[in-house]
Amino acid sequence: MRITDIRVRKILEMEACTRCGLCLSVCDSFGATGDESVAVMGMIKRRKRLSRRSLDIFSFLKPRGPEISEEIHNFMEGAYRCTLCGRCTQVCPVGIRTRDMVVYLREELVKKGNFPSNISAVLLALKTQHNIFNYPNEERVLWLDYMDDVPENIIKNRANTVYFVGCVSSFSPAAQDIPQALLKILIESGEDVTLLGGEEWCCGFPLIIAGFQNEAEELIRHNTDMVRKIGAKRVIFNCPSCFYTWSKYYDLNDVELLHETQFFAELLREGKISFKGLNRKITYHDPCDLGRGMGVFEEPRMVLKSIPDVDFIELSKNRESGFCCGGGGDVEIVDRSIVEKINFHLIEEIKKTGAQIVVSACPQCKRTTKSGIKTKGEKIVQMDISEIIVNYANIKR
Amino acid sequence: MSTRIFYFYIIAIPALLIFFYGLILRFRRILSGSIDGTENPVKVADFRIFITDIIYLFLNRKTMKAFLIDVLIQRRLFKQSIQRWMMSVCFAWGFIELFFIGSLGDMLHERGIISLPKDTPIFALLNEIGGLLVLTGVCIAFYRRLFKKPNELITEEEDILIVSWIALITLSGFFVEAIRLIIQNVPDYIAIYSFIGYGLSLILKKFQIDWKQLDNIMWYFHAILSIGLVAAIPFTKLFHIFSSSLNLMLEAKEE
Repeated sequence: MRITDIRVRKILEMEACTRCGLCLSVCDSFGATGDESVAVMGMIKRRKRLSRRSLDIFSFLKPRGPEISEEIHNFMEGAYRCTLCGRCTQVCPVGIRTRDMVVYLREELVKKGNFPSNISAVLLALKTQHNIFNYPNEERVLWLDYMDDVPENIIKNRANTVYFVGCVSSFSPAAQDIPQALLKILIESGEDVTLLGGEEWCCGFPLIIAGFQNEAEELIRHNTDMVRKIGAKRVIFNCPSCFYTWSKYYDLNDVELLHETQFFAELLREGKISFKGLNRKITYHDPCDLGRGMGVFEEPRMVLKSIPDVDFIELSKNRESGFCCGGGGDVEIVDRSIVEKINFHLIEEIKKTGAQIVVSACPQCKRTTKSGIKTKGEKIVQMDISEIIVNYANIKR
Repeated sequence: MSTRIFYFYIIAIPALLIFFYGLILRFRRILSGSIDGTENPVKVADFRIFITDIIYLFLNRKTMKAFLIDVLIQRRLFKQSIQRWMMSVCFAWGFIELFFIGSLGDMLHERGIISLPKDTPIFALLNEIGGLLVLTGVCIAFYRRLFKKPNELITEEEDILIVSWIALITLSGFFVEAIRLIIQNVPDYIAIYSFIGYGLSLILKKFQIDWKQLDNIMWYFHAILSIGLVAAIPFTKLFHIFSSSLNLMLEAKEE
């Protein structure tokens, strides 16, 4: 095998870890649990300890560890409690691609049949219903019933643009304002757009990050075929995780993939949206898969800063170092308590800015943060950037 | 060849064999692509390709830039924490200097290839600075691990053992130098270039000791510890000297 082979690279990365702890210093899961094994440094340590040919000459100094099956179980428990936010990748001084490393370790676990039991339910839901909520997939567009002025033929056979809504925005009531807002903007700006309706299947993201990339292939193939059939030239997403997955795993080189924030920036540049004033203090929370994952940092800021009278304040950690909302990495499926703790930390940081509105561009961030704000009884308003446009901008064709 | 050098080779040869054997074991595990090294048996040809790949890394402008900036200057660590960076570069640059100037220079001088007596001012000064850098690294490491104890820094027995080992090597090195200055009665204006060894010699001179005997003990103690550390590199976290450097260069290539 060559040194560039993915498996060789991953082992080399594990060997490169110096246990400096910089990943722990930015790890929200570690902050929430105090347990090293939920961070990549601890996972690498556990994985190496599982090695049968350990070269550790100091092992005699260390206390005898648990039995191997218990060790694997503990390793798995840690690996599935990482939100995959990728903040650690930004700080690793030896260049370990930590986010990819965690997914790789999960894949290894899955190959040996080790994964949390809750993940099995997601697997089944995706196999039978093609969405993570295990609802009948035809109900993906129920949110349309609560919208006025939607053309009857919004699900078309041919269109220039496909709006890929994603599971969370389609089914979670806490996030359904987003597709309603984005669809309105798409229609009003004159985009020849279609929804996939019941033919939209999960993008595969929850499976890929859980270590089931092979199982995601069917979903990827189906969605790719649908876009090809419609003859779309572009696909627009409001979900950063869908956007990330399509960009990294789908073979659609001739189709433009755009996140809503990029689309809004395009509309702004073309003069198709103009804002009324908004006399509020607002801050922007970078979704992990959009920012660190896809490098989209400036477009949402460009849109928000163009609003007259707005007082835009950055969070103390933003862009590449931005905080995680806690909603990623399938952690919600495995251990909800971690999500809440991480989210409370984010809310504290939002409070420090004095912002009245926290804007994000991700349905999962919206769900978790909205729920966190409610639980904590804070007065902050959580809005998706699409809702800001629908509420405070004029849209032209 | 002096008796000391003869015995040094007697110690060094098996230690270096252990070092290279350890490197092969470690890289075999990496090349197998599986953590337990069992999935793909690694053949000699794989090592040949591996070495060729590494040579190519040093011929590539992008990876060489990463080697200079991220490996030698450790820019990434500097961006994250100046204290950690100080510690790491003190260790790295100190050891590089001690190895290439101190050990290699001395060895070449012993074999008559170059003329570099220990009391050559620049040679003595550089050796001393190298030792001081390593000692600074040791102090920062102990301060962080034993006193500052940040939450994210998890200290294990191996960490303390390795830092203590390095501390002993450095301190014994200064003692060896101080005792040499006493035995050889090096004049102050020359000895001053070995500024730490010289200062130590001024203190030690006050004691009535059999310097020759102590010199032998300290010299062998220092030599065994030093060559022992080299042998331990592939079996401890010190292996990151190779693996982290390689990873940073490969990452630069893949970017």
